[in-house]
Amino acid sequence: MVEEIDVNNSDGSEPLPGPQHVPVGPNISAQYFELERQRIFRRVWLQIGRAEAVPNPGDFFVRRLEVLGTSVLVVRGRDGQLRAFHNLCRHRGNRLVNQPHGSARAFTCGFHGWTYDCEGALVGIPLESEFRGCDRAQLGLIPLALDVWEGFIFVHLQTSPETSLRKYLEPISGMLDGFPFAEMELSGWWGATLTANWKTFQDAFIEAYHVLAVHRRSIPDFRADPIVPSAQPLGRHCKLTYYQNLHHKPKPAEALAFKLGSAAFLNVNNTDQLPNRRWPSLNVENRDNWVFDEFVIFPNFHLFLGDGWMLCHEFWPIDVDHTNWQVKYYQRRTTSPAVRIAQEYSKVAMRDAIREDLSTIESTHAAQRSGVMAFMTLSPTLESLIVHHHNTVAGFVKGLDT
Amino acid sequence: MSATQQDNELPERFRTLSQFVSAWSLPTEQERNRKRRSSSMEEIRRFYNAMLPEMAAIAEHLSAFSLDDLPEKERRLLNLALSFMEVALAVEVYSTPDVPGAIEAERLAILTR
Repeated sequence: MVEEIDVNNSDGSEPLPGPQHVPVGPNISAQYFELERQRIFRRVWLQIGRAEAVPNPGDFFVRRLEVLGTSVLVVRGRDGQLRAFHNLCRHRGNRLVNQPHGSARAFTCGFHGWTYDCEGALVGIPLESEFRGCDRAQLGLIPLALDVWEGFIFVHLQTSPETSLRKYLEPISGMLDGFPFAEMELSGWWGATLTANWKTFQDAFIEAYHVLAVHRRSIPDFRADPIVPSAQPLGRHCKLTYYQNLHHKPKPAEALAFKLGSAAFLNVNNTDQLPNRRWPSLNVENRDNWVFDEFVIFPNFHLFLGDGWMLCHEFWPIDVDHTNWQVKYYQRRTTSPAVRIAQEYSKVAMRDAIREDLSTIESTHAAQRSGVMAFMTLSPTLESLIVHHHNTVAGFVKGLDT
Repeated sequence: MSATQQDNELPERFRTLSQFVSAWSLPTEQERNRKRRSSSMEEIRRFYNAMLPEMAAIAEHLSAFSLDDLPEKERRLLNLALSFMEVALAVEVYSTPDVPGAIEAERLAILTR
């Protein structure tokens, strides 16, 4: 069910709920983490990259996914199809591909030289006569399910998942039709491994409340109206809409960036081309000071969509206390040096703000780890989606989500 | 003309900025960020103040070209302008070379290709 949270309680009917208490136990318990691994990450669709990163037959990339205990090879076959395989040789299990990305005609294991084609078939065994009776057809690379939505590649550990990707993404699956994903080009790419639980890491990116303090230097005049962003649970996923101060006075470089045409994440001069006219699911309240919508796609993919840019966060648990995170910032593809200069401002501002975001995560986790505090006290409005996300995790762990 | 001069050469209109080329005309985000963080505010401001009044003209000059086909001098000028945007945050927002109160720069890998 889709429910809008009425933050203003304008009709006076339902009183707002009190503060929400979210237990910290699930953020620090190794046992709980093992349940998350088994009941979430091994059972759901996981986003691992963009299809345009591997445009041609033979193009591939590899992602080590500690939470699944595997390394995943995504490769485009000569037939143009994308496929995902466990990155291991069927001979004795050696890691097949060590390069993080590239283009290949075939993949040859460095251990004994077994060779696989780009569709995963075992095509060569050195001294094959010594393996008499070995059926190569049975020894192709072990697949994961792979499907693509709006250019995003998702994999599923099960080879035949009971839920299709489209169905898994409901009700978001049709919401982004028309967003110009094809115009987007990777512009910034940053990553870090923090000593923090994956949910604690994500929590820093599921509310705008922190802007007042964490971004007090970079966004000192943050006075968004409404101060409470629109928060919308969308089944197991959710969406948060961010607003900004329309009376923000840009400094010289920022003003230049706006003028040169960066549709920056702080752009205040784009009200004549409000994106909601083109993408019905963004800026649904049709506010002039809309800045972006964030879709939290369960369990670990956050997609920020603004006018002319997008930001893709992936939060990959390593264990209960460690998370590998990376974020990719995309801006509209351009051949104009002037626009490129303008975009650089947005990129640097985004990166610096993200470094501010990362400043609280490890200390929060360490404090929760101490066991001194049993629960977090969250605002039912400002932080409603943190509650939603933790509840969804808990639902999976209890086996309630199917 | 010496090799060094050639390496620093900018389009004629922007000749006065050539003194900044060796330090600031850097091709990658990682290098530009590292240069920003390892410079003093005095050095940053000197570069920022020299670039700011030229930025509109730089953008206009470069608009005659495509990113796919930039001549050497224009490429150098573009990289200077990108460094200007990198240090603009230090000057206009943080008043210090790096981001105060943020996670250490070394902990954030810049993976941008």
